[in-house]
Amino acid sequence: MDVLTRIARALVLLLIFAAPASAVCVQSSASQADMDHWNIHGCWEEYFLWQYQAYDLREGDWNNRGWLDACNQNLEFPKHWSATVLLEYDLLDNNDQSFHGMVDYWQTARAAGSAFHDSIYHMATDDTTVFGRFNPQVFGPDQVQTSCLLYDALSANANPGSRGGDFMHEGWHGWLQKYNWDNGPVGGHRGCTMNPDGSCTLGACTVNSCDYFYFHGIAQYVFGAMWENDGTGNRFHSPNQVQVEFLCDVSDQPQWYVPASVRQSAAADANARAAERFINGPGYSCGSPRPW
Amino acid sequence: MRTGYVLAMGLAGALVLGCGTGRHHPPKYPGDRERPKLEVREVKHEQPQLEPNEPGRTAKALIDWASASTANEREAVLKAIQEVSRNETVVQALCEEAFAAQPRDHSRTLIALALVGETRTETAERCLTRFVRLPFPMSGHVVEGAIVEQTALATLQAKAVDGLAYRMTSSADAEVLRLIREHPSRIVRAEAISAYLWNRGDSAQAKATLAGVVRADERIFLDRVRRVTGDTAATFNPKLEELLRQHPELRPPKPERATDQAGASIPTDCDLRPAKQKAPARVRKEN
Repeated sequence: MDVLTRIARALVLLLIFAAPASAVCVQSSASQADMDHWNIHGCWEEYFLWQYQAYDLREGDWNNRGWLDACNQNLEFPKHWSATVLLEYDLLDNNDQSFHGMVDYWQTARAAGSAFHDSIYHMATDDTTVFGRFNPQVFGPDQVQTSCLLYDALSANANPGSRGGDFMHEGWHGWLQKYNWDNGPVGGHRGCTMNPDGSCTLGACTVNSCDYFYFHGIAQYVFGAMWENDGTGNRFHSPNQVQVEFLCDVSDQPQWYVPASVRQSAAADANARAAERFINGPGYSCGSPRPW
Repeated sequence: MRTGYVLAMGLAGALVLGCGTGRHHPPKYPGDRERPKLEVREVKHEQPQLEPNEPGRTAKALIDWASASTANEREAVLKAIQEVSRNETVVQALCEEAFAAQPRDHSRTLIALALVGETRTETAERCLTRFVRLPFPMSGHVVEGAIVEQTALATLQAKAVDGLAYRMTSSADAEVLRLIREHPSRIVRAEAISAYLWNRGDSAQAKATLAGVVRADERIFLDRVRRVTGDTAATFNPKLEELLRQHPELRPPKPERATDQAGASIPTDCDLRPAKQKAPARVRKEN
């Protein structure tokens, strides 16, 4: 075999078997809220060695996103596990004040199959047409994907609260699937209708991804019971609602040590969603309008 | 063969019902017993020295400190803001920090705007008015039905509105009312309504004033329920009940089950639980 043929064959093999180039999120910085929250727990090895199993993060999905650099705040895996600290430890869990308990939030986000959803696993995606995605699988656990919009420091949603809120949102699509509820055909939500003036609405919802808000009082669900419903609109949750309630609890029911930047970001995200995404909205407003 | 048929049908039935079928066979996940205990790090949170002759450095240091501050430190931050409010050059520097951070760090910008708004000064009013009048993007990157550039700026302008409403001068109020009427984003209009009402104790008079200002399809925002820190079931639930009593149209419809390809509802009742259950009790024997 002449040299040129060998080279050509080697090149072909390289093209076939070379790992596909995979993009990653912006890995050069972290937002103020991410940095402030990180300072609570620091490089917590014992935790992330538990967390990657409890949330079923896989090396192949995260190996260029901080899998072997798990204390680099700028990378996706550290930002992922840091956000889960918020819902595993950082809330007050006061049944007389909180919408739900951490036991509800972590069961929504964790991998294990439970009353909340069948088993899931977490991965990141570079698809920035979404914040996150629940991707059912025929075999094996379903996917919960979170996009670079939740990791890139320039993005408004790159903070632990919004990231955790999206774990709630996507995990709740898992709940809807587990119990065969139909929440709508537009990515698991209801779509809006175009109006002559160019706006798109469905009731009070003003974006093309609408839910109902199934209003309930504080202490109406004992902790651990968020998954329950009675088949009526009196006891039910939608994905955006679970997200808003979690964000509200981060904003107004946090442990004493949660930084202001995390609380303020959570309130901003909650109130934006509550104002725009509910057919029978608006949803609750979180926090006092006093500036500080 | 018959046994195999029965087993296969049983499995198929379980798959249809979708209740704890174990159709996934996940590995064993670690649970709470294996989860490590959090030990909150003691990070030094020293209040920065206010240097009136170094307004830029003072503003940066104040934002860094306030951003990381905890709920327990709120009073300390408020005291620092009060001190800063006596120095208009530092307030102006905070304002410039807000504008500088806006393109690159949303959470930092929120903090800077919150600090500016809390000073309640003339400089703050000028700053926040300038901020809410930043050009609103009318196109951009659509994510889950909304343009992210719009949402990002709107959430910041909503924070700026909080400061304008808190100022409570005639000029600031005029700007708040203008935003309620005219701002392109519902996020900003909603926060302007909430902030205007809150600063007037959610009074009937304030609502009456806004009734003549809000858009027709946003009148419901005048009655919107707010959950604040410290709200309990006793304080929050009556507000919610009153809202639903006044606006029964807000009650959502009965949720729908998914249907199979033939259009039949896929039955399952394994998630249904009554809202209240009787506590278990021991049967008492009568003597």
